[in-house]
Amino acid sequence: MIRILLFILFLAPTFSRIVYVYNWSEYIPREAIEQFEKETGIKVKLSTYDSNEILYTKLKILNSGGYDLVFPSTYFVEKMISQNMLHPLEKEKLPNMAHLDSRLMGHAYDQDNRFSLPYLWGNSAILYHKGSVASEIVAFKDLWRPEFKNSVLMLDDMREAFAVSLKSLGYSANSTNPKEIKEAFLHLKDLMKNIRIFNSESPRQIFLTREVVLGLTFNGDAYKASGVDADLVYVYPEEGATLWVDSVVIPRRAKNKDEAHEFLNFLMRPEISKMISDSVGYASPNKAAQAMQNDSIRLNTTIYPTDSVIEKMEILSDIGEAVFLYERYWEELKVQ
Amino acid sequence: MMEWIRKAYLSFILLFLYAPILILIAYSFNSGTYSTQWEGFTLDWYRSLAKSSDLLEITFNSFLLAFLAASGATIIGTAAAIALKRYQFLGKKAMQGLLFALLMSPDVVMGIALLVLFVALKMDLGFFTLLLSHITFGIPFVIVTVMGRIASLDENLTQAASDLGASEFQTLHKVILPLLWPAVLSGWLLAFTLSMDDVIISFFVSGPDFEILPLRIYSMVRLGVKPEINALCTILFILTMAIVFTSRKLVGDEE
Amino acid sequence: MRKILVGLSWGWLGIFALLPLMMLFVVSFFHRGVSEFFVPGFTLENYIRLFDPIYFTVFFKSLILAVVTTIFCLLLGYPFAYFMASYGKAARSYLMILVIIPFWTSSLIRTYATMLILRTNGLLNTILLKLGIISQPMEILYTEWAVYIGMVYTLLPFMILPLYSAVEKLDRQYLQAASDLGASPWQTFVKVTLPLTLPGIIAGSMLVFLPAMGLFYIPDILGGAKSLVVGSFIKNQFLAARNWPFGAAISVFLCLLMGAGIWLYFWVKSRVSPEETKA
Repeated sequence: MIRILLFILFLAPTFSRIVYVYNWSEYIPREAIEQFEKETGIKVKLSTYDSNEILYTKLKILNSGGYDLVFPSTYFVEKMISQNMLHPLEKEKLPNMAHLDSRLMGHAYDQDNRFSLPYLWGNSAILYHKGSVASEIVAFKDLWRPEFKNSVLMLDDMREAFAVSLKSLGYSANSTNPKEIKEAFLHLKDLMKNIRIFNSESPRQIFLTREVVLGLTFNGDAYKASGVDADLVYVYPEEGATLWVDSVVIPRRAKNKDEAHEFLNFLMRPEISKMISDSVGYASPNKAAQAMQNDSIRLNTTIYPTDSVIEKMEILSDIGEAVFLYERYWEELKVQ
Repeated sequence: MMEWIRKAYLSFILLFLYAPILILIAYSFNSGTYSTQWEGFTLDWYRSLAKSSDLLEITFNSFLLAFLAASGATIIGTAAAIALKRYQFLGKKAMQGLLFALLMSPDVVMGIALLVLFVALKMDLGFFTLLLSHITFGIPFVIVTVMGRIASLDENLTQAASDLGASEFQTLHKVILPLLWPAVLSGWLLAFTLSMDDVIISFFVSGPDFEILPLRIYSMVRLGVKPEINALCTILFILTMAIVFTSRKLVGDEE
Repeated sequence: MRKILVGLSWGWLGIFALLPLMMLFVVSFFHRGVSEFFVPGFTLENYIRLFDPIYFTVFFKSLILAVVTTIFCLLLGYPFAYFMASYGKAARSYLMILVIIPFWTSSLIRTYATMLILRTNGLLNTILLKLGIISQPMEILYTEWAVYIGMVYTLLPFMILPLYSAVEKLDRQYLQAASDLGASPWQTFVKVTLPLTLPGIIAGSMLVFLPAMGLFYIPDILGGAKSLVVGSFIKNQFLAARNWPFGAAISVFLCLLMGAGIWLYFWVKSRVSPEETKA
């Protein structure tokens, strides 16, 4: 019996081609994977993570191998490139690249998209229960209102939390100035009385059970939650939200690079990109896919904000060693 | 009066222990996806569970890992327990200290220490690193269980065996092991249970090609459990109930 | 035979227990790296950093959490074990199984289910509101209360089992004798039962206290990740902040602290009742 089990366990992988995918949780629908498996006969082994830090650490532990396709956000792409952790994309294997929206390409974190291509993009702004607030929410500043004691949700993400505080003080979300960072920390410390929970895995669950009144949330989560509970409103604060692009990259020591390219090309097929965007509620970077989407999604400003709103947004970038200072304050914040 | 208080108290604590499990079972039949409130009876989650091959594969992985790890831990743990109880050897005190440290150090520390080792040895994280780790953290529990039994072993029996000319190996094989059997078995069961439930150590030493149930559950719990997981846990719960009570019956009949 | 048994156990424990712990110890003296996990070298800076009041607070809070959890488990578990032991053999063994069975369902899943119960619009509030015991739903989830409930729930069986075996061994004749000599039930309990079941109390307390110091997902899930415990703190150092030397130093310090606590306990015990330690 055990011999058979071991046999299945160790020999099965040699029977077919496999691609090891490490993605954010709930970031790719099962149907897309099934369709790819059916079309190509390549088995997709999907594992999930819920923060860039975990992804980065796991890749480091595995010495830039183990996974064939991973999905870091902007500033981590930069970091990984600078540490030689990524494999340059073989663009001749990626004809579907042509469908991508040029506005989301060629950003500072990877100027010629040598290593990364956009997978989905989104932003972090404020979601709130309309019926539970006395007056409209328009800015990050409003999170600090005394009436929201113990009723704010904050993403459990150091950079996002600091971005809220820095922005509301009028600084850049990528500040490396120790004075500004300290000020932002003290401001966040002030906010602690209002914060009920830190969570970035499933803010919508917490909003839907009405444990919190308002908080910083990803737009995809907000879109899904407001579909269930119409009282929920997603608002872009006047200080400007953060914009992020989740990219697809291939780690340098990935074992199945051909399969990874094949899967990546599949992900950029317009119908597939549409399917993914529709199902997870984040915006597609694929022009052809956008054109195919329903008006209810294409014109939804929670998913696709207007150009004037996007202009005010800031992309988080790698802040080098200043991150140690952020970390130190983040720890102090959580040791109340 | 006393009898009434006693019953009420026991029921209260048992209710406390079982309420979450009952809720879980109830929600596995709830048609609402977000399991926030009751929306009607359904068997859909069981159906989609039967279809979701990866969840079943992961469950199978976990059972396989727990089975092998418990067996490994039982062999080494029993050997160590017998050695510690019966022999004098170099470094005996040190071994006791080490076992104590193992029992005492939080899982996080153990997981990271093993990770540091595997990284230094340049081992690929995956099935083998998981197995080695699970065997290691099971060992002290097996030793504790088996040692308790050895302590109550009648010295005269082993003495008699060697007086009758039995070799050390024969004594071990024919006298000690049969007497230790129940303790060895419960040590195995303990190691199996711990392996099936371990999140923290596995978190550090697992790799991409071998996923196990506790880790999958960990990432799902944070997202708000999917009803399929409730269904799976209900099945596992009923299965363990069945196994425990049948084995209880069998053992009871033997007695 | 002896060689095989000793060799096997030392071989395994040496490689997979002693070696990794030693390596962790060594790493705790290394420097932090920007792109690698650690840079070999020698520094005491990681240990010096431990004296920062922030980290001290983390240790102190975790300690309080573990101690209070242990006390609650003891208060709830002792009567349970005591009552349980007063039943007949068959009933006792069934009760025992009932206590153990929840163990076999993933503790994470049970923690999550606890969340469903404690929610503001969850089962507990609904029932209490219906019964008219409270007039407004209580906010329990994401507070310290939720953390304590979750911890006690998860660790209670570890307290009950050793307590039960201690109470079961108790010779009821002593109790009879005490009451024959005119002791009140309370006196009998304090003067006879409690001292005789002390080993069980201590074993149970250790089994609860030790894991309580290290658990991190219960405070994270039920407490809203607002207040770091030492377990999640260590985890963060290794996974998020990637400061392995400091993480290693905290781990070493935690082990020493707990080792010292246990040593202190044995030392006190041997001073108080020398003859008991021998047995």
